[in-house]
Amino acid sequence: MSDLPPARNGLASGWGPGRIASLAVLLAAILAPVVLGSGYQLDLLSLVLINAMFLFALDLAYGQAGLAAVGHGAFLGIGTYVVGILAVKAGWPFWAAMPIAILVCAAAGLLMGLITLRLAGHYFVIASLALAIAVGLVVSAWQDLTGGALGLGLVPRPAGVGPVSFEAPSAFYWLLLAATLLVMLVCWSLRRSNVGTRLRSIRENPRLASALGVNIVLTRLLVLVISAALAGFAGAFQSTYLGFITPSVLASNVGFYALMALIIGGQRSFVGAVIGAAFFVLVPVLLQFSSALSPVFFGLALVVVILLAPDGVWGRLRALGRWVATRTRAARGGSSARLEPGQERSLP
Amino acid sequence: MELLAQQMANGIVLGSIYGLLAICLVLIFGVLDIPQFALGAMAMLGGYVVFLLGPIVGYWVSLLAAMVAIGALGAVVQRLVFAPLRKAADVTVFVAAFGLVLIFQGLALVIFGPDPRQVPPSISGSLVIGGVHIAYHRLVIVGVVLAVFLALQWVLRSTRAGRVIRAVGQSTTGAQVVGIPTGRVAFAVMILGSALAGLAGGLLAPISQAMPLAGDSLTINAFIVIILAGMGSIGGALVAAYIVGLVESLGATYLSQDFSQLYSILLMLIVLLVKPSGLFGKKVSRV
Amino acid sequence: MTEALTLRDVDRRFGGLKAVDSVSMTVSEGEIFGIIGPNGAGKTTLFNLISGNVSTMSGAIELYGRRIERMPVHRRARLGLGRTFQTSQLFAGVTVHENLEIAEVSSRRGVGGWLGSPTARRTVEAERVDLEAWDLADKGERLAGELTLFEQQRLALAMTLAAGARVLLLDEPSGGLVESEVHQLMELIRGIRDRGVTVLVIDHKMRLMMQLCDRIMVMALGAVITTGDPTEIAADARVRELYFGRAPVRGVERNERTGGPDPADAHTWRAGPTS
Ligand SMILES: Nc1ncnc2c1ncn2[C@@H]1O[C@H](COP(=O)(O)OP(=O)(O)OP(=O)(O)O)[C@@H](O)[C@H]1O
Ligand SMILES: [Mg+2]
Repeated sequence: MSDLPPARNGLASGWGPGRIASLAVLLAAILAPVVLGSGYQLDLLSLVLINAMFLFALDLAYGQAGLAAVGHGAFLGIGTYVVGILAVKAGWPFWAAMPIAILVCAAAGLLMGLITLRLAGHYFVIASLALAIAVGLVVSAWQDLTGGALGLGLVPRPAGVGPVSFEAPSAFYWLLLAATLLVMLVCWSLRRSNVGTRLRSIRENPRLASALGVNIVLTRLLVLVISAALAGFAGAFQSTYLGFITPSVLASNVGFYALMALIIGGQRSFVGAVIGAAFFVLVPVLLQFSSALSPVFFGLALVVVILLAPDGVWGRLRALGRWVATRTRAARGGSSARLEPGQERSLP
Repeated sequence: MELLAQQMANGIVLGSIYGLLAICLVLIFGVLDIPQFALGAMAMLGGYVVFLLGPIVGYWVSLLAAMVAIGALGAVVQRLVFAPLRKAADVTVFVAAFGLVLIFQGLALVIFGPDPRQVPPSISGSLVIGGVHIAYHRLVIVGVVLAVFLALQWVLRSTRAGRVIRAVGQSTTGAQVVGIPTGRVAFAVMILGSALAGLAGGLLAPISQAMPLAGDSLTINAFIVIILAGMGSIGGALVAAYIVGLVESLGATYLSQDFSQLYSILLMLIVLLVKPSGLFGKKVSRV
Repeated sequence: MTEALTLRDVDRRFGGLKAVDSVSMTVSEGEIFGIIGPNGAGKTTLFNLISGNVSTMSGAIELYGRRIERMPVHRRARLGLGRTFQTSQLFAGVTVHENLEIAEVSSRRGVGGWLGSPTARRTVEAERVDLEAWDLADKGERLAGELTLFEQQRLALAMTLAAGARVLLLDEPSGGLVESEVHQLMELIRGIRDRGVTVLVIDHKMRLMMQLCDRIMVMALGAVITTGDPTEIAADARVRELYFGRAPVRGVERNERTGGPDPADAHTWRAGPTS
């Protein structure tokens, strides 16, 4: 892991390829409803946004804190069900239910962290997966509350705020976009804060980090709780997006698929997470002719990326961008190879 | 009383299958330190081998074929995926193994479709003792697993190959220092473990039928078993596997069918909290 | 004089091996305290016990009068215990600047230590002064892993101080350095001590230790042989015996080829129980 460049991507520094790409993606995202209209394609984009939110959250745990949170799908699912249950069974409006979803997920994250964080590597993976499976089982079996395998519906769209209504697909899409940007902002500030610095030290050299006074378990616990809360936030939106909720949102492979998407897109980068989310949503659509083929494709893509591009698609694109930049500078008889402050570093 | 005996018998059969996979994991995960999460999916493929070849060459030959085929698959996977990831972070290897699960399950789905396929048992009919029905094939499962366990135990304890494997399990660098070709040993152990996964799948197929998702719960339970047992001994793994099988089967009967997977998970969590090194483990594995 | 660090009957076994065997010692504030002994004597293990990387089996460790032997590593660090490691002592994949930033952030306490940002309190000026003091002024944006060994060594020292160390454990700081660098290192360590930091240092370079240390403790096979000032140590019969190998201590044998090492250059001596 430590062979990856540190988490200074486009947003943090200069007009590197990261920042340009981020702005281009943002502009395209804002204009999408205008271009695409409000049909199936916008629906898919909305799904990409929800997944991107979840991947931002997951990246905190995986990319930043180095936790192989294969059970993280549970938090997305819990958030989805909390809003679903409150809306359907108690008639709560979305805006009241969503904070509850965040709180419940934060508490669940705390619980999971307390149980699993003291365990070493592989044990953490298995324990978090087992907890996620347990949550899925309980939700399926607790039929009075969750509707069991039959599902739960209908979860309404969020109520309008003032004159703005979120019923129209494009308005709902813009709401999702705003939520996604909010999650991004939270993750970004966290990465820039002392917590982010501590996380970096733990990733780079845990022994030295603790010798300098970093409390590894507490730092990871904090990040796990925040990450779970954000996943719950994404789940709340998934709830109203789906409208009808089934236990499949808590399937044990949700977390695995998310990790896959994140690794393929490129961890520790917002653009990478968005690429991963788009990949995850769009591949099955593109492979529509045989639904069984998309897992095979996903699996192959994952293994190939892990073997050949551990920093993901976006990591490779950035490396390519840097390569082109150095070539053009060299062609202009450019300056020394020394790095300027904040400049992207080339990969080994 | 009859119900209890019946469920105990079922639990032991279930535990035998989990035990066989857990033994594979002790070899691949315990010795090689590879979290082979695709072992269940490989067992599932073994089931399909028996489904395809059984009617033509008979059950036993097809079971052997399953071991050979899945062993070969293990060799391919080791060469192409796990060996290149030797120096990668734990997490990376784990996720790569998950990629394999997707590939294997997806392929099974593409080739055989989602519907379960019937696989005839080794011996049809069942033994009846005092009202308890036990299919002969189930007895075969218990017997084969015990035989495999004893054979492996002998190999690990009393042969040179076994000593070499245990040396690698203790410390890869240590083994390298004394001149053991650890890469070749890893290759051999991976083939052996995979072949045993193929065996497990072939044994299980007649009772659970061959289907693409058959491996999921096997993998989870095998990992639960070795966490329960604590890494290191195949005997401990087998005992823990019987416990998990019994807990699952009795829980499903007397508590609730819906939660059958939950009981073993709870058991594992309790053990992890109380004794992180597992029931029979010595080394405490903590950050 | 204030006692900075005190050990009482500290024990650690690894299986049957007594790596640290009932060690007691007291280090005063502002002292440079040397620890020498053959390979495998238990010196690094002793540091690990003090810093918390290895847990004690019995005995007491006090830092400024406070019992620390049950505390996790990071809490001891926060109480002012700093250390360097024999190997991989830096965050090799990030810049020198970021290494110092991490060290500084890791010592911050309270809510600000979590919520604030690394640049919020540390001024560019302070950073510059720091880098210049360690002769790393033009290296700020280099990856720490790309520095020379001596530069890495200096950065490691700078980081322990940035993290607020009051008692510093240095494990073979001269390892891999050339003669002139060893000399500079010695000056740096003296400078650190002059800032009021207590220094414990393990090293095989006897000349360095003799010149640098106020007191030296000699260990062999986990136990303390003797403690004294450099002249006493140089004259001590048991120490000479140990280094000349006249009366081999279990497994410690004289180097037949060269007729035994020069006690003044014990770093050339490599015949411990483990090697
Ligand atoms: N984690 C461990 N597990 C088992 N044995 C250990 C461990 N750490 C150290 N030892 C053993 O304890 C003894 C003391 O080792 P230590 O590293 O403390 O010696 P040292 O005095 O620092 O030697 P050197 O001068 O070579 O650095 C050695 O025999 C070593 O093999
Ligand atoms: Mg040492």
